[in-house]
Amino acid sequence: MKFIKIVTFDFMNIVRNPMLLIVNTLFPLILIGVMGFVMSSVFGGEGSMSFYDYYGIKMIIFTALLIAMTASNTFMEEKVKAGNTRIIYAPVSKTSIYLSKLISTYILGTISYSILIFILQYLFHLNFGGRNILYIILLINILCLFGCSLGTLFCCFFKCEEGANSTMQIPLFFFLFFGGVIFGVHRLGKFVAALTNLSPIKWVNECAIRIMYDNDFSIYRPVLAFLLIASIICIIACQIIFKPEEYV
Amino acid sequence: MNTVVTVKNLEKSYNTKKAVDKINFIVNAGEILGLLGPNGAGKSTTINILSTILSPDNGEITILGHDLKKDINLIKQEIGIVPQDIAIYEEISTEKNVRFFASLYNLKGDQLNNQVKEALELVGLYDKRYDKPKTFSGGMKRRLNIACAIAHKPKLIIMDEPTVGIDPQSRNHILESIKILKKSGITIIYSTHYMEEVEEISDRIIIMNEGKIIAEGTKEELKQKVNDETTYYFNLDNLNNLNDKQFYKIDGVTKVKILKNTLEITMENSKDNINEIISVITSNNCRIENMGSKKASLETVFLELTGRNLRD
Amino acid sequence: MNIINLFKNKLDRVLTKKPIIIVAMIVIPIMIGIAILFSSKPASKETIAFLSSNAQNLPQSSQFTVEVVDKKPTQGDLVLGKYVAIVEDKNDGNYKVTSFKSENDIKVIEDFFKSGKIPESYKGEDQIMAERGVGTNILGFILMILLMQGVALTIFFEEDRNIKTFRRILIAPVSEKEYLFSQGMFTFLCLFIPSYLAVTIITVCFKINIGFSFGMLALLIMLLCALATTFGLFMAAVLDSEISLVASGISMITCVLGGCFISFTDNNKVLNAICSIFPQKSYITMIHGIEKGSGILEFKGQFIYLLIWIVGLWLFGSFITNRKMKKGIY
Repeated sequence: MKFIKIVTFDFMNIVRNPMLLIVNTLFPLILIGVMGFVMSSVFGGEGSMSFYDYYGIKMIIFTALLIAMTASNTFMEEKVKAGNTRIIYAPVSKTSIYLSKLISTYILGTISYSILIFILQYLFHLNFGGRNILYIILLINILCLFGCSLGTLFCCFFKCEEGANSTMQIPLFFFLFFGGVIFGVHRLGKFVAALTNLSPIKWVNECAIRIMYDNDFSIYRPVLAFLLIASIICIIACQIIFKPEEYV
Repeated sequence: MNTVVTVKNLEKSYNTKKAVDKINFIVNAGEILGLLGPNGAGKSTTINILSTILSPDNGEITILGHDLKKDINLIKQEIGIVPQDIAIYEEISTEKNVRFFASLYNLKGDQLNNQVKEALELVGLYDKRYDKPKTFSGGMKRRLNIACAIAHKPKLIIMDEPTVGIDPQSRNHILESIKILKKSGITIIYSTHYMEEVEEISDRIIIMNEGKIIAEGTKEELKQKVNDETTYYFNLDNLNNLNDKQFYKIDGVTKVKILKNTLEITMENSKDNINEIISVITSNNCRIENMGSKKASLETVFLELTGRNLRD
Repeated sequence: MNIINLFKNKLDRVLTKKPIIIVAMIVIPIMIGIAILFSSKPASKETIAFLSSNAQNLPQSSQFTVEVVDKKPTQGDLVLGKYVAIVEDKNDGNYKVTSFKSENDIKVIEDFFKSGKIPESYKGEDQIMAERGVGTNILGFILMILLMQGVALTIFFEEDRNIKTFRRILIAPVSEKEYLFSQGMFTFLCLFIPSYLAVTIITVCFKINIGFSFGMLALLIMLLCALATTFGLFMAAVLDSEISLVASGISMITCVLGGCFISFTDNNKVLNAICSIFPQKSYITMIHGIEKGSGILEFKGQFIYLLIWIVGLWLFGSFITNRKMKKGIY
């Protein structure tokens, strides 16, 4: 019961921050629009798949992973940290302290990206799998969970938002670059192509596209399982690393 | 006596709220001026204006002979501020903190080194000069906060609640340091909520409320304002039969407070009717276990003046 | 003198923030190095899947690799870029081309299989990118990285405001202009030194012709760093929190619209005009021209426009800081 109260409160803290809301709602829309517009202007938009379709899923994946930065903000941003410190003195478990931040950010991601995908498919007529839209939503949902877990883990490790965000850029850049969501990297040689396999984003991207265009679910469960397991590993690491006294 | 600070008709508003309402006061050279007032009285606004970081809406301010509107950089060179928030860098050493802030006042070379050392010695942190403030207690951080303000040897120091939330040992250390500073001829404006500090170190006191100065003077002058009364307290075995009306009938009684097992009666000094009070008590079958009197203190003055004004 | 003292203070503080040093001195140069290596390296050709029972005399081209397949690739393969088109041999001299490329591109591919030739006027995706020039592609990418990093390196301004040392500094005989100048100097040097070194070292070690002389490169990167510095200061002055998040978003979007990754023009004049406002557009136009052999003086207009942005962001940031100070916000 206490945990739910803390999660609710943390969620409201995020909702009260207009920048965080914009980053997780409007920003993906703007990115899709901008990328689609620019690429259409260069390469022509008369093909059977528009660049808006092409960048639709990619930009959603891109911004869904960046929810890691929202998670680190929820946990240790200076304005909320002071008030959050009180929770440490309350009779709540250590797990509740970091997990509540993770869950509240995850809930935001779930709500915003689910709504976004619905809007993009049914209002803007972008392809997000048609009848398979729910599978895509679940995939993005679990990716959000992974992102939130990663952000929380970095906060537990670095004990401040600034350190966490600065360092987190490195793996995030690696995942996104080699995941091919910014631009395709598979033609940059065998070595690079091999490196792309290390990026979970590559697999998420491929999984989504296979579902959307081929109705192929062959890698769906393995990708979901991987993301879930990775999230659990991050949470276990948080449990080990996080010390409430260092939060003060 | 030289005047270090002259404030005339100072006004400052935030939107429609008047934070400082045409106040006038002076600060004499070498004195410690205590600035008292409840929260929202206008103390911080006044201090921020004197610190040069906030512009007044109206008024004239002269600090060390310089006009605040025209010679701001000259003023800045000569003043030191101890802010209420601990404004230090926790990640760099104590010595580097003091050195950096002192260097902004055109100190260089040996002069800088010596003054940094003196400032740290004064606040008792010289042996911790290589330690980082993040390892310090709250009291030590406050002392460093002061060291950063005095290293450049300002002629006027403005201290905004410098002892908030620290242990008595650190607080005593700070007060002793302030006395040493005063002895060296530095003028200090000292804002606090702690009456005993003001009583201990201030030469003169200003009490502010709702943007105005409601009282000004030495401790004795201020106490005199409420010194025409004495409060008597009686610890009784029971208060069952007593009520305040019985005491208000007695000539000279101005206030009656019946607490759990204590009776407090304030009476004008000119009317010596303590015997009548005792008579009322004993006639109601109450046994006096203990009694005493309280002369007006600064706290009484403060509460009286600000309480009176709040009710007006 | 105060500027130097303020600068030294930032150096002292940055040494305690290892993540910032690691990102600025190691991660960013590595990212720049990777960008240079991949920009200069020719990507493997786009692959066309050819479905035929009797594949003989496959057409050859410098733009495409034709791969014979026995099973028709899926749409997903096309979207993922594994194949750029699927060509099915109808065995009557005709070919069916399935691709997400434009109709014009599909026609070209069909004709390629029929005649074995690609029109000389045809420009594929790779050619369009290559026409921009290696140097332009690299600096375009670096521009976005530096804009984001510029904001990150302005962290001490935000920190000074949060821990109230900004107020303490301003109470000293230091103007907010001196403070901002020292912060700007710090940000500029932390941006310029690692990025310039990264570019020169990588291009020398890997013998890459970036298209600019080292002197010109220094000037162009300086211009970039100045823009990133003033952008960072402006964002830090305007916003009190979430500075990095907002600035990263603005950097990304304006860089894409400004043509940092790919140059574009749209038929819509209004949109073109909006995109032309961004300083990135002028910068890319200028460096593209210089890389193609023109002198910098031929781009006086773009250069001055960039300077206007740099000075304008600086002045505006200064003004906002001053205004907030006078309001007593700090």
